[in-house]
Amino acid sequence: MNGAFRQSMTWLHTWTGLVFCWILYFMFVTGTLGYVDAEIDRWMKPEQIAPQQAAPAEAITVAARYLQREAPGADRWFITPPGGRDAPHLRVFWQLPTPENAETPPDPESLRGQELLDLDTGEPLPEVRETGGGQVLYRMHYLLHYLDRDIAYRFIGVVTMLMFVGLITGIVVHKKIFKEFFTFRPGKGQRSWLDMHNLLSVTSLPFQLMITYSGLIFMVTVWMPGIALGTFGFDVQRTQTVLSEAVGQVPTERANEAAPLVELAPLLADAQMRWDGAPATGVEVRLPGDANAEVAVNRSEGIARIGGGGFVYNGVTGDYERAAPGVPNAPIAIAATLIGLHEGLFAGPVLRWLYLFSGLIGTAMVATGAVYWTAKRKRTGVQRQSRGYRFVDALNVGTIMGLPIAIAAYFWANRLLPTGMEHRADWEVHAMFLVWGLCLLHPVVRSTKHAWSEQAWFAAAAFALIPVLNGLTTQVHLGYSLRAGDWVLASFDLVALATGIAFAMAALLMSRRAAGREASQPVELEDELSSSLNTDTGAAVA
Amino acid sequence: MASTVTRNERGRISGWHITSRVVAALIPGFVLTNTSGVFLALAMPGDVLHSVATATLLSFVIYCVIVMWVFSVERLKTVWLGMTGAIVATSGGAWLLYTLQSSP
Repeated sequence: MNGAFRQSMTWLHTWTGLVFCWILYFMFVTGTLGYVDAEIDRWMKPEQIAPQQAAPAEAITVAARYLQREAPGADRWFITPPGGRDAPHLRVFWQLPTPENAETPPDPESLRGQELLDLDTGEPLPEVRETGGGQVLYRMHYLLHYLDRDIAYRFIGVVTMLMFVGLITGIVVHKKIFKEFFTFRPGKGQRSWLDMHNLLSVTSLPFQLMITYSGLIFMVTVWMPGIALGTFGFDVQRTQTVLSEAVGQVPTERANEAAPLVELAPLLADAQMRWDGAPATGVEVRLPGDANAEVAVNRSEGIARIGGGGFVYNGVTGDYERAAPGVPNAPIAIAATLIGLHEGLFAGPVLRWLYLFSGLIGTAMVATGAVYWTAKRKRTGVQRQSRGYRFVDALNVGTIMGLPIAIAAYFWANRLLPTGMEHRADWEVHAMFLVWGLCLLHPVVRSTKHAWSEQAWFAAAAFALIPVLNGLTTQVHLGYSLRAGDWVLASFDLVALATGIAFAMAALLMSRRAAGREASQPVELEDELSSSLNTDTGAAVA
Repeated sequence: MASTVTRNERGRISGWHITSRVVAALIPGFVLTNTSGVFLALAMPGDVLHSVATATLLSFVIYCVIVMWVFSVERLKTVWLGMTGAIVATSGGAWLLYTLQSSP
């Protein structure tokens, strides 16, 4: 590999990495929290009844009764029986048909509905505290919350592609990838940041490649539909038909003739027999109440959660019709596996912690890269005055420190906003972004040198006090959760406390470093001078 | 940070050189990703769905390589000529393959 090529790739790595690094950092932080979305949900809904357990057949009957009443003429019902971490309660989802003679097309959101049901009463769980929970927080990593969905997908695709180019060029520019794995020179300013960036990136490289490439695959229909379209001669109709047949989406036509829906429980029992006793994980009812109704009983297990296969029954007679096709070919199986790895739904507790750590390492990789950019330019006084330097420096503080503070604010808002408040869930998010905005302003008003440690102290307090806040505002504080052995709730408080302590340690280090730098600056200069003199004299002697 | 790709013929850092390469990577680079993807899908033997899925999955790798190429070639002229040539060649090849395959 020649020097010019490596140089140009270093340049590309620097700029693809830097240009959207704050968005990347945001995606890494909120995406990583997605690996504990259900646990965050639990903490943010302290009044919610404990997770429920029931045989799928029993839960399905409760769900069907509710849906018959609330969404009788729907296009589809999806029923997820309770079980496991991701589904603590029975969940139903329905999609109503688009009215044919509507003057203006209705908002697609108004045609969908979703509820969590109480198995004992058959009614939706009472929502005491309206909250976005862990779900809204983790969806931010691809929806960016305030943006229109289509725009967000396109933008996220661009950012992810830059991340991918950044990863590949990052690998290419390494002369000695193996040696740098073992290299860490602490306390050496710019060099230390680079070593840290290398160490974090190299140790977690497989995860970073997986998470980035699978992230791109999520965006494949948004960004790369052209390849399928071109291959089928730009025939949109044909492309759609071929692709939907491939994933087994055979459209069911409405007969427009009423017929009562078959009892669902026996179908589940039949499917369970076909799976040698393994229970169903989901049921889809197409056109309930119509003569052409169909019931698909599905089971997903393992890493890939799509195309897992299932059985389709006649929705009126209950006769077995066909096995739903699984994944049609190897590349689609690879895509499904990558998507499954990205979501990590299959992960048990140990693997889930590993996911969490890998995500944090990715977060730190982005952060150290961004700080290295400024550390490298800090030494030359001229660049330090430049607008670009100050812009990056301020954004670094306001995002690397500010975003965690903002997320703490999201949790604080969940406990402090009045429970009956209108648009309460929206205001939790507004609180988060308002606080982030303030954190971005802070280094502009104050100098960045002070802002780093001040925000770190603030983050320390904001997280460490979460268990206290929880104790003052709810009944599910550590005193309860530790005694009751409720580890999900206890872990949230304990992890918040640990995060607070970690930020306090960082703050201490930064304050000390800043104080030390001010004191030792003349000495350093002298050292450099004398060492350069030494080499000069050495050369003269030689 | 000194890299030849950001400099003009006299060795000065040039905003124009950077902009030109960014545009080349974004627009023709993306077009070339698609045309080469279609070409690849049509050139692969076997089931068409298999080929389309494979080419689509690979498209992000293809795009990444194109971007790296755009930023590693020394002369701007080579970037634009190479890009135009590659788009013409892959789309022409794809058209030829499509016509051959759809004629009975």
